[in-house]
Amino acid sequence: MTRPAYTHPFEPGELREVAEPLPPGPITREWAWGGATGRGVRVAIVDSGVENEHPAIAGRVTRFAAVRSTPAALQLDTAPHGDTFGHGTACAATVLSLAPEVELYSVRVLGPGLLGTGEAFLAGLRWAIEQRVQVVNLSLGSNKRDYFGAFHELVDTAYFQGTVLVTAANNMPVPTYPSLYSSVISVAGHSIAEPFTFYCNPTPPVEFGAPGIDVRVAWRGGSYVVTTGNSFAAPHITGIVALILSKHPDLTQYQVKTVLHATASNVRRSKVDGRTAG
Amino acid sequence: MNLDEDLRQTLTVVALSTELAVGSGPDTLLNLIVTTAARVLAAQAASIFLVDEAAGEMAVVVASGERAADALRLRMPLGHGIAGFVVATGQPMAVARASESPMFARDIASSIGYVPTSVVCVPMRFEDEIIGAVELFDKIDGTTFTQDDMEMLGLFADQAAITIGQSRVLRNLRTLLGSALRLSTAEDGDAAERREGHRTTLDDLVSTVEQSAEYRDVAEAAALLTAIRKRGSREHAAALDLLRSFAHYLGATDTDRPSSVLRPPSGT
Repeated sequence: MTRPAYTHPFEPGELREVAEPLPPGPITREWAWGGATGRGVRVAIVDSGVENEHPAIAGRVTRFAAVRSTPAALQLDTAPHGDTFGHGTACAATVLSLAPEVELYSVRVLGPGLLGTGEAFLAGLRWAIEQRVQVVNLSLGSNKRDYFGAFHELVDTAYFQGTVLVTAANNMPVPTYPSLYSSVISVAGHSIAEPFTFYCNPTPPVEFGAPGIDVRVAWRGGSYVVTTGNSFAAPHITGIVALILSKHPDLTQYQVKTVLHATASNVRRSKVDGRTAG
Repeated sequence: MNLDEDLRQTLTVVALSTELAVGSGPDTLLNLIVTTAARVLAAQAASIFLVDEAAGEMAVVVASGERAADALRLRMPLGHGIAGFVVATGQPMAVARASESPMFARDIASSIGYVPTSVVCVPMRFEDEIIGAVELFDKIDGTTFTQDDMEMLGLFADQAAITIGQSRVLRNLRTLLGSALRLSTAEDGDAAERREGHRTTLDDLVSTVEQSAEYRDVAEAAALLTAIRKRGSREHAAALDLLRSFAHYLGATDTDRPSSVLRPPSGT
């Protein structure tokens, strides 16, 4: 049997009505995440691992996957693991500070023997996407052009299945994949310490700015540090995205971006009925 | 950052680049880079870490500041501490008040021998590979390193990476050519021994070339061009033109040469 694959959903008898995703009036923070806690949303932290016993994490990691490099191939070890650096814990704790009821998955692609190789990173990201989590926090990237295609394919898969990818833009002026792709939410750091202060950049490729300068974050060993880096800004947006999706689970990645854009701290609100909206 | 400081920093980077172009030895250059970076960014100490993948370790190759001598003896497993993370991810990172976090302090102290107050670390990249990191410690006025500092340090890290990367590529060849030169100008030993020495050195050179991926491509390219030259000098010129045009098309070269492949070879 043959049928026109891509036109099929639009044929009479196949066409389905879908709910309007965005509100009829202005998109406000109250609409976007008012009252939300992140409940029902699974967030994968693709990083150095997460220290589940850290007071700031308090056992919220429910699944683990650590990439292991063997001579034959890369393997995924699903036993619980810790954090060899502290960075993954910092990202996870930041997400939880904004969306305390999310479920976390820890995907470790950094650590002894891995050195953040592109292959390990791809394998970990692929696993996270296969688990159909709603949000993935990627405070990492690869600079190798060789991986351009592989990342692009993965990122497209994520988009089409409804998984939102939030990445940290690299501070150095080098191309970073997948942060450069248009369908991810790329984030850099700003110096305001308020967690819900985030900015939208009208001239990408970095699209959003979130706290990433002198932020106090959890670190391994149950400790805390004050640190600077774009990789600490990304989890702020991840947390906000998790809040949004817990309240509006059917939004696509681009609709989430629209909501972020509309609720950014530097957006100039248009006037409605003579009053400023928002 | 005010204009004076801007200018000072820019001039320092330019002066450094000029000095690098003159071509001192790699260690001298790295020392220059590290001490200049520390001076420009008002840091009390600085280190350059280099990845030793075969040993699974990272070593401090150059250090400046009071504890430089201690720092130079340090080797640590790959993936350890801030430098380890920066090398693994290619993401720069800075930490303020490091001494206030016991775990952090211990990690850093074990990697550089003392506990700094503030740290900034950026990766060194050479040809798409992260080969190490440049780390600065203890901003002199006690504040934390800023985003601007990170960017400036990035410029120094780029220079350091080029210095190290290029010196590696040349090192094998230089060593072997050096041996060959020494042998050919040696005054003692008889002629037969010298010839034997030459042959061994050349064998070593050839096997190094054959085994090393770095040179294999160059050797193949040279062999192909030689084979093409045997067909004629016009053909040889066309082959070189093709390479130049492709490189230019890729933006791989700085010179703006119009493609000469489209011009018909003279004489037809």
